[in-house]
Amino acid sequence: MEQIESLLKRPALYCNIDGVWELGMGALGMGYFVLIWLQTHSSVNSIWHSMWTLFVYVGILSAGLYFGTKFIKTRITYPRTGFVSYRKSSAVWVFIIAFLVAALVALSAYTFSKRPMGAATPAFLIASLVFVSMYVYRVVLAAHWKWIVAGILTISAVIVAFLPASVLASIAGHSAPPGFAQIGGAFLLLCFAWSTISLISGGISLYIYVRHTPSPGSETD
Amino acid sequence: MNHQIQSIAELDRIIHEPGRLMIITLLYSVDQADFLYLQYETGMNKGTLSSHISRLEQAEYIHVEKTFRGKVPQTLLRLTRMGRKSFERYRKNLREAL
Repeated sequence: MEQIESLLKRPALYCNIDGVWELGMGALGMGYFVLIWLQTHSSVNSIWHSMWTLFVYVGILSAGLYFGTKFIKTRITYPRTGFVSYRKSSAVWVFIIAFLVAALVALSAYTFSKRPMGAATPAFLIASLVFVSMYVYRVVLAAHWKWIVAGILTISAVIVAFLPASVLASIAGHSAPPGFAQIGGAFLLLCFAWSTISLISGGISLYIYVRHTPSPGSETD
Repeated sequence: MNHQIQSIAELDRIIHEPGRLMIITLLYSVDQADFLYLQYETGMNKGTLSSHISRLEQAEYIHVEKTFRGKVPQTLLRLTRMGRKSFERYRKNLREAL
């Protein structure tokens, strides 16, 4: 019975077998980091504050992600280990559990910490840990070495949350609204850190996948 | 105990074969998958996998669609409504039997 339950989870874990999900998330995060960085570190009259630039940028980013992941899947993954299309099932309960666990961890960190924290820090930690829980559910269960990546993601979130307010405010730039400089800087820094980690982890997965799977062949061979 | 024995007796013989059970279980969680994916996950050779697929197709548990991915032939497999219900019944009976 356990084998059947384990086999039922295999297709979901197959989604990131080539690291494409992580590469996509990393590229998306890096794309938004660059956009927000440019917006917060440029003058209000620059093109980065124009609505049209935003539309064009997000359009190019989305198209790049869509066609990039599709390219890897159709040229590398499907010819090597096969094609899968997924059912539209709701996994709401998974996210609820992830949220509750993350909230508990963040609350503990908040309660036992001796350092003074800003009002937004617990919320920031909760949101970060929810993401890490999703990462564990989606990626780590398929490749156990990714626990290291999950650990690095968690540590980086905690480090960013406890950085001095002045450092975070300087990262947020001059155009951050008053009162949001600290959380804005924390978000921007974490966005950069996680995107970089995700891109590296996805790249390693893709390398391992290509190296350890047979080269493409027809099913009629 | 009688109930357990009855559950064992009611197990679907078509699904109960390990190779076919693997195929049905994998297809249960997806919309559709191709032959190559099933071969990758189950580790079966092409002949064995083909024969199991034929048996499941005869029982109308799976729908097989022959198509092309570019110039390469591709066999897409999907669980039918009957196959899905049979697998759910099989799991229920197996759980009761164990």
